[in-house]
Amino acid sequence: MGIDRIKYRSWKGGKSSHFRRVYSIILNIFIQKIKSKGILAILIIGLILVHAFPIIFGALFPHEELTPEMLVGSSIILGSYLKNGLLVIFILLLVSLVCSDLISQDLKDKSFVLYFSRPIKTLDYLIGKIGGAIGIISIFTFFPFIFYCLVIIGTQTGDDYSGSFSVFGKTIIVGMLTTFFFVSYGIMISSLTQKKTYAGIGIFMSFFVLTIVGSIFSTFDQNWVFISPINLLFYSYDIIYGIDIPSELNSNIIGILLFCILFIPLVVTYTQIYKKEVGR
Amino acid sequence: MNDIKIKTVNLSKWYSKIIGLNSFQLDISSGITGLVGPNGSGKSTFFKLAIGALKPKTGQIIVLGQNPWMNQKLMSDIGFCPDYDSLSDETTGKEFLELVGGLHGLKGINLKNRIDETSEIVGMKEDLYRKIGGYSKGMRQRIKIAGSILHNPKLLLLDEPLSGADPNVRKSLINLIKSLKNDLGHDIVVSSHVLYEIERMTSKIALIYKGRAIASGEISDIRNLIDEHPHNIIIEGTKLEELAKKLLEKKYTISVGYQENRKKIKVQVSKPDEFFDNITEIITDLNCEVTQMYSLDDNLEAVFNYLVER
Amino acid sequence: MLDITDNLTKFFALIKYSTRKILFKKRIIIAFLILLTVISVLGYAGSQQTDKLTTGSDLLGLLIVWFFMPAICMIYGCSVIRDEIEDKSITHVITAPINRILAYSSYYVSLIICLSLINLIIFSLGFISFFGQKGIDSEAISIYTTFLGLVILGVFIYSALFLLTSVIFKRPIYFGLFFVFIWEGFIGTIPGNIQKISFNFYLRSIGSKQLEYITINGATNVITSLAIIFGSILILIILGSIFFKTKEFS
Repeated sequence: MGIDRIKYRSWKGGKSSHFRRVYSIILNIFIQKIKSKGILAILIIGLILVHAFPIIFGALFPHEELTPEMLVGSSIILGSYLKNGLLVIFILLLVSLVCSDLISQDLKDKSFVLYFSRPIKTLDYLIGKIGGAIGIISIFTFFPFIFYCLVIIGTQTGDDYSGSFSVFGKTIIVGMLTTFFFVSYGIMISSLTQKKTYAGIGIFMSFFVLTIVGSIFSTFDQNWVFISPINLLFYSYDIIYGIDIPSELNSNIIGILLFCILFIPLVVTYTQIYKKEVGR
Repeated sequence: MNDIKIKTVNLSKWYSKIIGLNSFQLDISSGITGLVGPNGSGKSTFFKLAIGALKPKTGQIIVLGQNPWMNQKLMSDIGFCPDYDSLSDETTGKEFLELVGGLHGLKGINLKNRIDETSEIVGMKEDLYRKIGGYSKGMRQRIKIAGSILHNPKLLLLDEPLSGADPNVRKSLINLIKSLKNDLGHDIVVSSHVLYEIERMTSKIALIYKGRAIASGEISDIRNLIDEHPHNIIIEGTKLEELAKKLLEKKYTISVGYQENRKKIKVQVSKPDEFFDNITEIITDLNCEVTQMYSLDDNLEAVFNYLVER
Repeated sequence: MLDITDNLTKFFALIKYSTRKILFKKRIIIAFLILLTVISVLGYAGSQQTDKLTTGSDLLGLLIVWFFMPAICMIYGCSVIRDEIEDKSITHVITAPINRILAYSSYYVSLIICLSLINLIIFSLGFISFFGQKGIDSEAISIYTTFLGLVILGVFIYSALFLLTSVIFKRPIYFGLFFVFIWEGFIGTIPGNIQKISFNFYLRSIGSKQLEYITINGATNVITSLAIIFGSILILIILGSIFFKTKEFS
């Protein structure tokens, strides 16, 4: 019989199916996570407890248009929709479950050998992982916000839709910020350890520790309140919606810290993965 | 009867939809007994039931005359070496043996002496102070065996002690296991999925397949079973039609059929010994050219299939 | 007599091994990071112009007693037995002639020894970094001893709870996160009878009877609180022992 000769085709210089590779990582993570009972349970319970009631009451409560106060203000019945401790706790639980093993499991299993023996660069790998995580977490931190706005707009009694759609546009930014805020942080923690349980604990604890430290230090200087990522996020919402923040707080710090918390984790994660790609 | 070390009666164990053991019946007597079966046949489940790590769903297992479930006292007479890696990378070999010895009630100078003895026996004396994380596969197996003999048990259960080891390490581990019986007098049950490895340690084996004990006894008896059951042999070459006609005249030939566009024939014979004795003469008489000839059934899997279908 | 000596040998062998594993594994970095955080936060707070006793006791309570101590107990308690089950090193314990109840007890003892030591160091250094700057007088010592007592009590009860969960659950850490941050951290501070279903409430009750700086509505008396805590410890250890004894290790 003999062996079939491997047919050689010279490379013409273009990478084929590049986006397909990234997409397959995204899809793999999304399917893997959505099949997890824990994640599904958190999503379902969270959607009911955190999003369903505000959406229902918001629709039933008479309103002329969609205003920022309906999102970040405090209502007598339900409190604030976005600035809500329960929302944050569920997001943290979700991020812990989704992000904790994204990189740490690959570090432990040495799956990088599998990934980087394919024509995938570090950035492609990272985009794939982040994309998959965003896909899941946005089910809780982006789409419900959008749905809420659409329901409020759809049931408003007033004729001024331009104001409502302006708030709707800002809510899209808020949703994207919230999703990306937690995912980039979560994925960084996951890249720092091989054990997914440590990563899960790390995500949870670091938020709580910084919040407690922030509350302690803010008695000495108000600006320490921004050390809490949760307070940082909430004040960012105010800025996006054009709501005034207390005068004793320095709004420049918000911008700097937001930049740090959104991009430094990505740089750290990239560095960690790049070290694996080059075999260190 | 007094010689029976492990006795099972209709022993069954399942994990939701997966059956580990299914009405398992086996008596293991003293000496070295090999437990042979393919992966997933139930060898490890059997060992876990024998050490009381699992509880039988139905049936019974008796080890050294006692029920092992929730019977920690029995563990002082059993030494177990698992097939999986059960060692903590951050402890040293000495710390591991100190733990095992301490758990068996050894302390002080007795423990120290026993650690020295067993590490000498398994050839690990010089590596005791190194972290287990730095051990090779063979060294890990040795230290596990050291842990299993530290308390001088009556019965040793070794679950796939040779798996993952290179040929040199396999050879030394086989010699070690034999010396544990011959020099130190331990009764041993050792499992493997490779028959010839067990053959080098003992002549007594039990075959496990899909959770059942399908045969037990001397290896020579099992080998005879291989030879007695119908064999399928593939022959490739020229003048296959004449060869087929000639073979069909023989009493031991059950069937002959063409394969792959008449380039091969498959011969099913009831007596492979006779077939192999005669085939050379037939080929010479017919003056045909045989480029390839091999048996499809000269392996343990075929034996298992045969025994299960019987 | 021989049996008792034999059992004690096995008991202490497992304690020694388990204690060494807890203290010398990489996980100790977490305790070290917590120590650094505590010293930094309390050190900075100590440098500010504040009321020494009120602020000091608030910070020690908020940071260490009601937050870090339960969290450290969760991190270690949930992993002592669970890690050994996952990496299968528990095989050497379950195949040893040691009663499983005794084995479970030795895990508990090693856990409380290590966690008491870790929390003692963190608490003491945290106390010094704050009060060291303000002056350590008899009232400060009173705060130290009261809170230290609560920390040690807390170690006993949380270790018992999380050790039990490490036997029952495959992922005990998620239960631990829920319990520490949501149950104890949130429900334990809601006024009314609902807070009585948390251990936090009883620890605060004991503390409030010793120190005026610890306040809690509807505090129970010290005897009742101690009875509930020790009763809970006993129940949790018994439950854990039963589960461990009857557990199958596949």
